[in-house]
Amino acid sequence: MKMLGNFLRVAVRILVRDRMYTVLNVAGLAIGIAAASMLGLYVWHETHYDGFFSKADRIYRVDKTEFMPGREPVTYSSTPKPLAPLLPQDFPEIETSVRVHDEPVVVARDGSPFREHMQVVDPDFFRLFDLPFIAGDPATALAAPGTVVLTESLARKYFNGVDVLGRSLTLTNGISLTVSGVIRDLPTNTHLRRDAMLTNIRTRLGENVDGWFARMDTVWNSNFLQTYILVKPGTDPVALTARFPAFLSARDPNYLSTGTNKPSKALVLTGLTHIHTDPTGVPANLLGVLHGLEAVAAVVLGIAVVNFVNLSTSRSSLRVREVAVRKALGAPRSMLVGQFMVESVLLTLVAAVLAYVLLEVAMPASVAALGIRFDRAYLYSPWLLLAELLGVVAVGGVAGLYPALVLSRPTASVLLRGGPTAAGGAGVRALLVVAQFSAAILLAIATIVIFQQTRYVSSQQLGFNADGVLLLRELHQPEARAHIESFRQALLRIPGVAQAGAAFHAPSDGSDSTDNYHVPGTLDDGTIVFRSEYIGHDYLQAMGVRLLAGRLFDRAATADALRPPGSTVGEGGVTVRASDPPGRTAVLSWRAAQRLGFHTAEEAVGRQVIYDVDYPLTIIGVVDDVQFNSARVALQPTAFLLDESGLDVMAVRLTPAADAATLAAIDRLWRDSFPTIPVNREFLDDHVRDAYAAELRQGTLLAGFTGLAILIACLGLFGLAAFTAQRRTKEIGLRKVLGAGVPDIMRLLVWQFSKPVMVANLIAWPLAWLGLSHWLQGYAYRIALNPLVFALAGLAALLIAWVTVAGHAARVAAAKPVDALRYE
Amino acid sequence: MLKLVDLTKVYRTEEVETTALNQVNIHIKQGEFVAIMGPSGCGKSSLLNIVGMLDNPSSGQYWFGDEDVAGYGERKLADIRKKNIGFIFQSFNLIDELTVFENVELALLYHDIPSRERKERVKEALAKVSIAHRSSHLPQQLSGGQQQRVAIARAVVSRPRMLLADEPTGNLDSANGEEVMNMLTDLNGEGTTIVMVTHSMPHAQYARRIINLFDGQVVAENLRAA
Repeated sequence: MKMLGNFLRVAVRILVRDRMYTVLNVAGLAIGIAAASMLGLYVWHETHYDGFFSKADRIYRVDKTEFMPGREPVTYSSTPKPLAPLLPQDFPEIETSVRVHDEPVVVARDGSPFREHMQVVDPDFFRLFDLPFIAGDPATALAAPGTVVLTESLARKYFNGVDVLGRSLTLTNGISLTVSGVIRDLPTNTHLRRDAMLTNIRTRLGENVDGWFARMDTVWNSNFLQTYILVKPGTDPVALTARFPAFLSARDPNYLSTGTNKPSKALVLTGLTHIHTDPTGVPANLLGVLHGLEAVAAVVLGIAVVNFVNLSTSRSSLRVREVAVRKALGAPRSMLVGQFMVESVLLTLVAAVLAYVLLEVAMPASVAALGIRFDRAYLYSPWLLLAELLGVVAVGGVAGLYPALVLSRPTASVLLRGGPTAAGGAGVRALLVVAQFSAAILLAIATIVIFQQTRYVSSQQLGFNADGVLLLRELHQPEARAHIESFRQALLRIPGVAQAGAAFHAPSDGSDSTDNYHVPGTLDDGTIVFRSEYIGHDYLQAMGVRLLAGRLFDRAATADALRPPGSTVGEGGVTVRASDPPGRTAVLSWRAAQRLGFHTAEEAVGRQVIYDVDYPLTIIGVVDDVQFNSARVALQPTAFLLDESGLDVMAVRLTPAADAATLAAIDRLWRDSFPTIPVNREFLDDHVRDAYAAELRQGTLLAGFTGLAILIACLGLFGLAAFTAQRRTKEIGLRKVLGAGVPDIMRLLVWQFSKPVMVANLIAWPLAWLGLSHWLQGYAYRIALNPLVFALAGLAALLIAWVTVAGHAARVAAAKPVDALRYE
Repeated sequence: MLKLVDLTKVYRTEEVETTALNQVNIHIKQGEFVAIMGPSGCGKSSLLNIVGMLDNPSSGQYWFGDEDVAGYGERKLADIRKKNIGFIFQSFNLIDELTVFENVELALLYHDIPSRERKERVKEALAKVSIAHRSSHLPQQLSGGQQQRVAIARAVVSRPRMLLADEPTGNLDSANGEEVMNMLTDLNGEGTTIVMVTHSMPHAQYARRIINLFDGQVVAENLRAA
């Protein structure tokens, strides 16, 4: 302890004397720690979803993998309604099951409609998800239909308080629900909807829902709700999953076992805490991204640690005498090593405190800019503080070990001018600078490529013109359903509206409805699978889809007339089933036409195609391929089918002259037409871009942290340059005496720091190439890696390095040689 | 106190092999004051390094008391060193960042001495070299003579049995030099063995015995008349 005090005094005084060194060292480390902590907190947040539920380790979501001939299996979280109640009956190890269905409702408050999410759930919901209640009893709150559980925020929104048990919440369709409970707002790290209300699964929510929802009780091929189970302690999920096929064949009348060339399905389990990051059966999950971010955090911290090592060892010559005297007085080297380690841990501690401040200051801005979310409470949790403290000791230890070994190297004999002087580890420093810049250049290249790829996929030829298209949603609401055409006509009368047409879904909505098709007379082996897009008459026109041959759907064409279920079509007199498309015509995408064996678009027009088993459709037109999904998946061959029964979204093409007044007029028209439905509009291009939000966010995150990595590396380079300039002053003075000019000296110093950056390029390029090629494999549509990007990133690093060291070089080079020679 | 037997030190670099000490035999008794003289490069510093246990000989024996320490490792040497040997350097080698008091105290920090006693002993040592009034100053605020007195205080505060002085007056003017020599003589009078390397014949005269080194060998030993 006595030693510590003495040592700290020396340390503090040296740190104060060499202010620049201290500032560079602490600043670099603080930025590194802050950046790594922020990423760490984010990753922690994302990987700790739903763990706060006390039975989290016994809760599973039952997911469903679909096997379709000719397609990769796809796993969905949606399951049929009859599944859940049968599970506890057939499996004794399943304690209970809970269904969660999200139903949009419109709540009235002061005469205005508000769109809310109603979670329609089984009464045992709170037995699985033990959310804390402010008012009400979790055991009975959802026991009866007609009641609703609100979050604290929703209670305040509708009743200005939380003491609202027994109050009535009224929907715009006249249905009234009694508040039976108020729960605390959900934490950010849950996959459950945080802004939703909860009600019993038998609650009546309106005619448009109730009838359909009740019918679903026995329907096994309609998947639309989530099924959760609570298993008994010690249940093996793998063993349980293995018994699901037998269960399905006993219970699901449509079930066909896997392995046949027919559509089939399997039930799989996703543990509650894995739902957010790595649900079962989803190959490209968040976990991979999070591991990537962890690596970035490690790299940024590593660069800061390397700075610390370099700046510390470069100063070793300043401490030679101190070390030698201590040794002469009997200090063993181990003690000196320990002391230097303590010094670095302390410096790290200072940096960590600064990082904490930095984090506090920068967090709101970064949360907004990067779109990453985490609970601020973590910042104050004792566990996190303990972890941070351990982290400080670890980082300080790692950063301090090598400098401590170098610094403690001088022997006492230097005092008697008999022995060698300190070497100072210059070779290791150069190596570390190379490593730093390799990492920084690698990150820079990755950032550029990720941005390029994201821009490429989001501007990928969509097959439609996404600019200037407004999407208006929720036309499927019962209040609107019957008035879609008159609403469309009214839209067309607004100045600035060029065209309007409705469809079931908009592109990038994530809809995935596929069917089998084949040409009459060919073998239907179930391998030709097209995406079926159900649309209204004017939709393709409004979307600006390019027609290659034939025509689009036309109100005037009798062939396009819709048939109700039960009527007969075609020469054979096939009866239209409820599941058949009501139209008799189809527009195909070019890819679909090719898949059916047509060589040109014209060849397909007028020919027949069989939908599903026996329902004939006439091909009236062929359009350009349309990207209705994200570019992660390849373009799907698509069949456009006419159907007006489920139109929900209106695509409104605006003229270039459209302005804010146009939008205001559209909103006004909506409110006048459908006063009980809140306006829900967005621009198509924004909507398409949202599909790439994750990639954009990753790109932004990476760009931010790449910037930080380069900044930290430059702080280190700046310090090293200052040190070198100082140490080589005498040599430079001599060179000048011998006739070297300022440019010669500049060149000398700048060259010294260019070499490691150039070597770093040679290391970073192949690594970046390999890594990014692998990353791009995940996209069906991807850019080719451009060597120019690599060269540019390398050149930028070199330029930044030059700018960083040029100041010192210029100052030293411009000094009078006599000053240099006097210096000693 | 110490006995060097056939002590040899050879420095090897990639190209040359230099014999700094060649078969040196020296015997120094407890309480002696020995001066070592010789021209530059004669091996004085190498000898002091080895006697001070900062370096090992290439061959030969170094008896310190009844132990041959010639082959000891750094850990063992450091332990013997801190208990028995104090150093005084030509360039003082005070630590710039520590005050006078802290510099002297440093020598006791590596010993297991309670804080109160440590403070007492530092005060005592500073008083002995008449620098107590400067105890909170930093080294650069002192004159050369004052700095060397602090260095002496640091060397003696741990009460070593032997003091090694490497040209202790080399950076001092004659008045300050005299003062330092008088202090060393006093310390020797109190029983401390002193081995001093010097270029100065007048200062060497303070010693009881003068050993002359040349080309790594002892060429003459002169006992001063008592």
